[in-house]
Amino acid sequence: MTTDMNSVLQGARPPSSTSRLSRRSWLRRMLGRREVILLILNIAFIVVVSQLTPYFLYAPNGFANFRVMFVGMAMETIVLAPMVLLLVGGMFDLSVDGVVNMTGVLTGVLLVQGVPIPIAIVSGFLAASAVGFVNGFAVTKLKMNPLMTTLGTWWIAQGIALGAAQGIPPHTFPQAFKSLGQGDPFGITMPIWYAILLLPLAIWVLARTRFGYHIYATGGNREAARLHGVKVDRVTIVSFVLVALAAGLAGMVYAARLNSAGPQTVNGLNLRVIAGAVIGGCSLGGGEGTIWGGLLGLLFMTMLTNASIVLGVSPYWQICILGIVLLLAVGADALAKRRVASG
Amino acid sequence: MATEIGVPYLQGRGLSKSFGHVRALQAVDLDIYQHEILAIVGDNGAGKSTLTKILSGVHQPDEGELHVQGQPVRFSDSHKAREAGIATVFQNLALVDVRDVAQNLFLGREPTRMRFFVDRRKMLEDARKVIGDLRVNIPSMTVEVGQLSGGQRQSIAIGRATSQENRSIIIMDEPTAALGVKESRKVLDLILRLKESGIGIVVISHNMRHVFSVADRILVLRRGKLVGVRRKTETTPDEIVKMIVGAEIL
Repeated sequence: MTTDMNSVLQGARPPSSTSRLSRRSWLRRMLGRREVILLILNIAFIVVVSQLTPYFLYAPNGFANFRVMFVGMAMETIVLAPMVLLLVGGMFDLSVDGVVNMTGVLTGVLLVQGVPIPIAIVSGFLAASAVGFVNGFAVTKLKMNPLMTTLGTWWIAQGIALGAAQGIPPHTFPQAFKSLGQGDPFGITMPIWYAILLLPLAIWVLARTRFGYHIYATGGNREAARLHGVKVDRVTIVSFVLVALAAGLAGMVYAARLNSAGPQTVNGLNLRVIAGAVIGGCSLGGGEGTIWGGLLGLLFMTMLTNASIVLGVSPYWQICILGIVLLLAVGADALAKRRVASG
Repeated sequence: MATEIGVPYLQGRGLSKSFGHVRALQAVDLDIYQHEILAIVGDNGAGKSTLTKILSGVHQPDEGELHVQGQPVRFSDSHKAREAGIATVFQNLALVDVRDVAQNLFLGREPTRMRFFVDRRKMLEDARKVIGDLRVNIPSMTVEVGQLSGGQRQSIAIGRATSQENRSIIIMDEPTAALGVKESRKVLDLILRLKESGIGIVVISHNMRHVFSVADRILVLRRGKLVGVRRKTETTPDEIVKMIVGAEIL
């Protein structure tokens, strides 16, 4: 039917070689990457703070403080990983706090009433994913604002958690359920296991799969992605459901660890995770960011809080320091973008 | 000059479209052949964009029908039009600025292994081939398209269309509007080369010089209605301009 393009457009030369150019700018490119800057910043932070106090890194008994810090952070990375996917896709989700608490309480109530563990867990995931689906459906099909939508579902889920607990958090769960949060197979505590499994999975999904490519395209230019056949609404809805499922998992693991499902187990996790991801290079406008970056951003925030405690900074000032760091990160980003735009 | 050979690849009959009270397009007929360039011209609001969006499946006509190679078709979305061999280069280019050249070329149709995993190596290879075939200068397949010039960006958008499987018709909405003189010339040359390869091309343009330098036939729209179609060899820029602005004010 049509002549082959090659035969018609003969004499086409391959694009000129750029290997020399790229080698020369390799170092500069690496240093320009947010992840590399943050990695250096994190290491520098550890070095400086361990000079100021031995209690940060190794005293009084071999890295105890660091271990506790990492376990706490591992719990948050369960939510961080899909949150990065959502942010890269141009959305964000405040409702995770409500979903964590709601799922913990609902699963706990079922367990205390003697419902078999698998059924209680599946019910918990169903409740969580329902919230995720409502979020996704509302912001795509109904074109509702994601800030207000997820604030609304946050409060609804939080209300369900409080209502279902009736003032007495369900507690004393079967041993098999507790092992979801308390065990340490192969000497590694459960929360770390979840991080070890989920983070590489999320890195791989975002960087290597078609779904990951479509997340970047959806966040980068939603209209263009749609015109080229990317199912942008589906990308967004699936991302919201993944965040909600992860929040549900976190809720159950918290309940298992504490052997009690308080309706206010987490408070501020949503903003901490989003802030960590943004410090790590995720743009709230979408299209940019990596799991590595989000992880390093969250690590920096976690270490900052931890170091403040170890160094005896007043709790009143700790949150203030976090706020300043967040503003500096966002400000640096805006400055870099303006430079690019004008130059 | 090879033009209007055999059956038109794409035909529109009585195409109409309204947006609320605005009648954007009223009973427009058109024929598009392979191996020729059809220019669509008209003033702002004449219905050019609406017409091309119907041809590319973005809008659905309220009335009228489309035929591909004589068979009636309905394009429920741009995907369906693409499957029928109609590729579109949108005026805003529909590029994702924060992603690289290769990803933009294959957005929505990434080469995969086992359906889910993007075959990055094949994607880069194919991208080099597409860009090489177009004979345009883009230094790297891994540079973000937001950092490229207007002409390079236009080339990538055209490359998307040319590399589409079984593309027979390419629709280009204002391909030279955002470009300088030199880059416009390159894009026009590229359009002529694509025609030589047997593709049918629909070009929307405001620029009469560009229209006359590439088009075989010129279709004029005014206020959503078809004014007429002229062969370039049988008309003058003056006549076309008169058709665009309407006889009543002359």
